Formats: sequence, C-alpha cells, structure tokens
Amino acid sequence: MSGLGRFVPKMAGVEVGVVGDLIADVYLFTKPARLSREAPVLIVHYEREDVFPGGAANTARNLAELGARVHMVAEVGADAPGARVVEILSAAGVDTAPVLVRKDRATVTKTRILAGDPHRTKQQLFRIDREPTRGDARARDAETIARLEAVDRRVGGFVVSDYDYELLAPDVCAWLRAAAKRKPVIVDSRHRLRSFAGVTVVTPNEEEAEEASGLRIEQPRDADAVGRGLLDGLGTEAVLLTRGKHGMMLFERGREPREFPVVGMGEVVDVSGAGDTVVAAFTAARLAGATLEEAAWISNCAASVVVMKVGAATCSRDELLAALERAPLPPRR
Amino acid sequence: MSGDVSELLDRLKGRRVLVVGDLILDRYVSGEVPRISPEAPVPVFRVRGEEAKAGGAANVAANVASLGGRALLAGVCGSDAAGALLRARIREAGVADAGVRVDRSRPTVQKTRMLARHQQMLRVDQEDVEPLSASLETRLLAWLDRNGKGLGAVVLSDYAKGVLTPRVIERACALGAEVWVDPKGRDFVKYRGAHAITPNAAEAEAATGCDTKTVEGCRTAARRLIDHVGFQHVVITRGAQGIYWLAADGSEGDVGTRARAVFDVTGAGDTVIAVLALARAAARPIGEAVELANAAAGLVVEKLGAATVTPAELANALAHGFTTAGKVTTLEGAVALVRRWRAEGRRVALTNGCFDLLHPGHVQSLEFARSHGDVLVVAVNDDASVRRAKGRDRPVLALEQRLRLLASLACVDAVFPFREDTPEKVVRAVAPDVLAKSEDWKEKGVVGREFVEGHGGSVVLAPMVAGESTSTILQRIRASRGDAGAAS
Repeated sequence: MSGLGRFVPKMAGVEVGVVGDLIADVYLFTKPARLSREAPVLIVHYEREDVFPGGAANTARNLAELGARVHMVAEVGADAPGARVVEILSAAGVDTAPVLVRKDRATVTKTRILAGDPHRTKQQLFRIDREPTRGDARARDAETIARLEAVDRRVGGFVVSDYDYELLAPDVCAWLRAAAKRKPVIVDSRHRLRSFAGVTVVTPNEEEAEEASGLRIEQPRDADAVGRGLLDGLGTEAVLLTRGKHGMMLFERGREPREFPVVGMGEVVDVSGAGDTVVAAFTAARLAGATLEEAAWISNCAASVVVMKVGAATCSRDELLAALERAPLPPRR
Repeated sequence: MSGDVSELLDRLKGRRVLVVGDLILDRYVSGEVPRISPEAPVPVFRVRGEEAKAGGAANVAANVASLGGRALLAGVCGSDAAGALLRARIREAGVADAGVRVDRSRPTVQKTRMLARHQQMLRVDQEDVEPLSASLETRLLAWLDRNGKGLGAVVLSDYAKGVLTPRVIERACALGAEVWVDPKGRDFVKYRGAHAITPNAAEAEAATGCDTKTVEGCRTAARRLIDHVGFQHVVITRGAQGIYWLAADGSEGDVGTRARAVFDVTGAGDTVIAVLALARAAARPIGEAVELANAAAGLVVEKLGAATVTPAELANALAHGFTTAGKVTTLEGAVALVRRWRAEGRRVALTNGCFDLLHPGHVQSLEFARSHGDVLVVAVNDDASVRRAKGRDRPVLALEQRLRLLASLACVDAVFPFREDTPEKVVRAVAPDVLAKSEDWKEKGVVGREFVEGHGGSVVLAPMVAGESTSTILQRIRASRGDAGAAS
C-alpha cells in the first residue's frame, strides 16, 4: 500500500488507553401535543430516545472504529444512559472493564429534545445538561490512577479527552504528565490545557488555545504566535492546533510550523465531535508509526470525513483510506 | 364556616376513601439556563435538582391522607423505574398502594416539567392512553370487589389514561358509597350512576354547551347534568372565581376563591375532590364540604405543583381568614414568595424591627417602605432577640401577637420572625430590591447595605415621627400610673 494509507492497517495492532469525561449524548424524539394548562408552555409527547457515546466515549469509539484496541478509563452513574454508553462501547470492541460505575452521581448527559410531526424533519427544541457541580471536583483520585496503572502495562499510549467535568483530578493529571516520559500522551482538553504541561502532544482548537495562551487569534500570524507560545509554555513535543475552516497547524520542536488546509469537497454539516476524531486518528497514526506530520495529515483527512456526517460521528478505516487516496500529504514547501 | 373548625377537621380523621383512576408521576426538573446551545438556537438547561410527586389519582389519595383520611388507591403503573418511584411516593404519602396493579404493556404515565427560576419552560409527557387490557381490568375489578367494603366515599379521578373503563366505573358505583367523579372529556354520561361530579368551568362548558363564565351559566350547566345524567350534586370549580355547586333538590352555593396568590393550579382539582369526598365520608353537608374544599384549594394553588394541605394549615386558614393567615410565614416561606413576586416583575421591599406595641410611627415607616416597592416583606425580631436589644421587660406583646398585628396591615404582604441580633442573614436570603430602615439607622449603619447595593438594590431611610415610639408610649403609661421610675 502506497502513501499514508499504509498506516491504516497497522492501526489495528495498537492498544490505547482513553481517559477522560464520558458523556451520554441523548436524543429524545417527541411529538408536539398542545399548550399546557399549567403555564403557557409547549407539551411534547415522548416517542423514543437514542443514546450515543459522547466526549471521551466518542474518542474511544473513533479509535475503535480505526481498529485500535481501546481501554476506557472513565466514570458513569448507575443509570440507564451510562449503562447504554458502556454497552455501545463494548459492542464496538472497547474494553470497558476500567469504567467505574458510581452510585453517588449521575452520568454526564446532554439531552436534545427533538420535536416534530411524524414524517417531518424533527427540530431541536431544548437541551438538557446533567453535569457534576464544580463542588464535586476531587483533589485526589486514587481509584482512577489505579485503573490507569492497570491499563498502562498494555497500552502504547494514552489519549486524554478532558471535557472539564472533573474526572481528571490534579493527581491524575500529574500521573499522566509522568507517563508522558515513557509513552505518548495526547491531550484534548477543554479549559484546562495548562494542567497538561509536559505531555507529548496537545490538540486544542482555536478557542482553547486562545484561552490557554491568553492571546487572541484574529489574523493568520496570530495563530502562529499562539501555537509557538503554547509549544514553549507547555513544553510538549508538538501542538496540533485545529482551526475549523482554516484547517490545522502543526507546531513541532525545532521545526517551522506547518499549515494543513481543509481537505474534501463535501458539504460540512456538523462539526460536533470532530475534535474527538482528530485526537483519535492522530494517536492511532502515531502509535502505528507515522511521524507527527503524517499523523496530523491523517487526522485532518479523518476529520474531513466526520464533518460531513450528522452528530458526533466516526470515520471508518475504509473511509480514511479513501480520503487519504484522494488527498495525499502535500510536500513541505 | 359554621361550627368549630378543629372539631370539623377531627371528624375527617380515619374516614375511608377509595380513589380509583389514572396514576401519574409528576416530575419537576429545576435548573438554570446559562447559555444558548452551540448546536442549535435553543436554550441549554442545566439540571440542578429533581423532584417527583405522586400525581393524578395518586395526588387525590395523597390529599385524602394528608387531611387524616384513610386513603385506598386503585390504578395501574408500568413495570419501570418511574413506576417504582411512583409507588414509593404513594406509600410515603401514607396511602395504601395494594390496589396499584402493574401493567407490563405500558409505561408509567409521567409528566416532566423543566423549570428555571420557578418558571416552566417545557413539559415532556410519556404515556399510553389505551384502555386497560381485559385481563388487567378483571384483576382491578376483583381487587375492588375484595377491598371496596366499609368505604365512606369513592373518588373516580379520570385523567383519560385508560383506567376508568365502563366496567370499572360501573363496579365502583356498585360499591355502595357516594361516588365523586373528577371527569375528563366532554361525555359525562359514561359516569352515570355516580353520586356527584366536579368538572372545572371549561369542562362543564364543553359537556353542556352552557357558558360557565357566570353563576347563571353554571347553574344551567349543573341543572342539565343533574337532569340528564342523574347526579345528586354538581360542583363546578371556577379558578379565580371560586366554586359553584348545585344539588338535585335545588339548593346551591357559590363561594369565592380564597387564594392570595395563584402560583400553580396543578392539582387544585385533585385537592377539591379529595376534600369533598372526605367531608362527605364524614357525613358533612354539601355546603360545608364545598367551603372546606375551597379553602384547601386556595392553599394548594400557592404551592408548587400537585400539592397537599395539612389539617393545621387548613385550620389556620379558616380561623384567621386568608387576608392575614397566609401572610405570616417563615424566612423560607418568604423567600419562596419573593421569588414568585419577582418572577411577576414586582419590586420587593424589606424592612425589619421589633414592632412591639404597634403604633402610628410603625405604620408610617411600613407604608413608607411599601411605597418604595410593590410588595413589602417584614422580618420581626423574636422575643429573645427583642429582650437582648430592648431589655428584660420587653417585648410587651409576644411574637405571635406582633406577627398577627403586622399581618393585618394592608401595606404588609408577608411577615416572618428572625432570631439573630442583626438582619444580615435575612437580607442576604431575601435579597430585596429595596431595604427600608428608619432614619436613625443612618449613623449606626444599615446592616446589609453593601449586599443590597451590590445586587442592584437600594437602601431607603424612613423619616422618624417625633414622639412616636414604643418606649415613649410605655413611659406615658407608667407615668400615668405614677411608677415612671420603674421604666428603663
């Protein structure tokens, strides 16, 4: 197999630990019924619901879809949405034994209420988030560390999928930073990038990079300054800055930054979860032997596949192969 | 109301009332709306808390139990988590749930409201309104036959979810006790054989075609129902206009609503029929039963969601009348009232003091405070804190008396006691738009000023009235008795 496609079969052999905030993405399908007599609000009638893995669970599913053997270190509540996500992950081949079921807390869920008559496109009406409160954050978390240590023996690297919900206590972050001295630790973190100085690679989007660097990205050269600043400030091997319609930029130690344009010509329909796909494909490619630059391009192509699908979606190996075939890595200028 | 209230309430105790109907789990999910969703132009509702209550027929039974009646409940729920929760709530309410059959073929009926700042944003209903299966109906009928003995009254609580089939209605009417029906839909003929029916005005209008906005219209509608279906009593609940009732013998009544602030009418009909059935089980005349039901409904609409009232609340409301009784509350009660008032766009003024021996100076400062807001909340020092502040011979009037006097003033909307030496905690909890104090506090410093001003509120100082104070009144009294030296 020629080109970067050669790494795709090798992804099947890699073992990855995914640690982070597991989210249940719930879609509640309803039918509008009438106005309430209690208050001037709409009453909708429940028809059915679908549950999808979100957050760290979506990252895990993306990795599994690419063939990686994933060990999921996360928490769910003892409830139906949590059980359903675990079930979906297990069916996708993810090792969910290290998922801790906690009785004292609900699974983080984002419930979209969709309403519409049968045979019409349902429209989103409302979103209900169940999240832990900030007060629940822990300073220490020996349980998660014990699970990471158990997984550590088997995996070639870790992906951290941090949605800032608190699974990642300060001592867990410290453990991951230490692990980065031994094996790749790739971090996708919302709001807490600065807790991950010294990991191998971080993959922020522009907003996260701005927040972590304190700088604003208004012009192309701003992105350059922000990326370089993060690379120096965090001391990582690389920073992969995802920039939406502007593509992505890779900042590597000792090399000039590289810009990658958006690939694919399909219509972008939904960018939710694209970041999960990027970190998953990047990690799988790295563990399969790709260079940083090659892995970045592979993740760029994988992202181009999922943004054309609705909902937090995944990119299959065949889809990735086809995308890489259509868009080979452009040579460095 | 004639007769002794507590004696009347005592008579309700232990009366057996069977409630048959549709069981509902009423859920209230409260939260906040911090932002718009990034995915679609819709609010993101972040859940902060969740409450589940027994609703529908289960709420009727809970109302019976709460007033001391012995409530038996028959109906169906699904074999799901919601059903287990509903049964737990039913038992917690002191209602016997042995007549609740589990139907594996349907989900438990649930109504889930999302509330932000006590305002509903959306309701999601989950239900299956098919009539009962034949086998389930048979099981329910068998239970009724075995357990429907020695009843004071029967309530059929119809929410059109399938339990009240023709056979169930027929069997309930054959149990021998007065059957009271809270109907659904426009066909009341299906309830033939029942003793009485309690539609709301809209239901009565839909069923009879009479305009029920006037008492005359209600009378015509009720007469038609009596003549055509054979009810002995028709009780029409009219929301803000109170309750109208007509008996087959032509006697009638029309009682005005007693609610001070209608917060949530959910379940008011449940309370009305529960009280009516319980009072009838205690052999009370219809007029008295309606008055009691009306008073209970007035209390229940001031609470969130399907709620119940206790005999103590009802006795208090009936004894003092609603103009004052509902005003005396606690700090928590006041905070709830304030939240509601604020949601209605009203500016809330707060003041505090001892208000011992109420005098015109007090009234003037209270009226001044009220003039700076739309509603006035008054925090009153309890007896111990008055003693600490004013001396061992004070207060002259005990806390209860002081609260009662303040509550009778038109300018006061809520009054409650506090025990601390300063009102700091009260100010923080109420978070008023206006904090009113008398001018003499200007120099001593108004406790809570920073908090109120920091929250966009303001502090106003009421002018003092020369010579008007409890201390000077006490001095005059003592001087007139020639023992001025004893006053401190």
